[in-house]
Amino acid sequence: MVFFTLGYAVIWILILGYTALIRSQQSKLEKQIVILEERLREQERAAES
Amino acid sequence: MLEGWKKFNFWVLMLLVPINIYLIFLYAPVEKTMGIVQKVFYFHVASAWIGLLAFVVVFIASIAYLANRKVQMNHLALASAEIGTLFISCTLLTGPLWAYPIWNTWWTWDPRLTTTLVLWFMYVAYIALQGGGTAENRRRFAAVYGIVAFINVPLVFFSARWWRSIHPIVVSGEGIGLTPKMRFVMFFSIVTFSFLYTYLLGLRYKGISLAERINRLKAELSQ
Repeated sequence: MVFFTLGYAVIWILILGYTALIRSQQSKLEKQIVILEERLREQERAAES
Repeated sequence: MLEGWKKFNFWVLMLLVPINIYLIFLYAPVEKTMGIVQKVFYFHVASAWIGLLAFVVVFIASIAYLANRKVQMNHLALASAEIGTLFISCTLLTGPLWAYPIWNTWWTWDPRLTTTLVLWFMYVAYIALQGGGTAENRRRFAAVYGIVAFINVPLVFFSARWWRSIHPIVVSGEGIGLTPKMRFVMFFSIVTFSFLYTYLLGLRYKGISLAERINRLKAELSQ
């Protein structure tokens, strides 16, 4: 039972850990995109004026 | 469309995963000689199959990238390689947990085990290759490597048939060596893991595309 439980736990720890990692990375990237787009718009406005 | 597919996939997984847990723990019979540890097999085999499937996707996407140079194909190959490596890691970790009580050793240099470990190293190298160099060169080299590395996928599958191996062969020319209940749980696990793979693939593909967009925005800002 110990080996079976360990095997089951290993699979789900790896999969759920990876999912959580890429989800948090994705939300960071989305925030970064918003900031960069804003900066780009500011740069364009500054160039126009 | 990708968002809709991801949501659908998520809810299918919410349904399939608890059913799969129930089937493995309570429905599948306990094997007479190996006992409960044999149940490791349901997720060990499913993760191995999905790992190999992921590398087939890397192979096809790499060919498609070299043929039409669409960046999306490179992103798909990278996302699939990462997820394939994750599932092969699961296979390599759960295998010894079954092997120790059955073979009395955590690891042996059996052809199936050795080719699987080599496969894991090859795709770790592929992921590392995708991280360096200029964008176009990196994608081209990675695509060529993704095609060449694929040679190990059929080797892993057939290794237990071609060479003297102590690794069990479940699916052979003589049929499937499982009782009907065990067979049903094995296929159910493979279906569940397939949905898990497509869900993770969608997530990771989006993440890689977002990182690429950030690089473009940074380049525009520095001009």
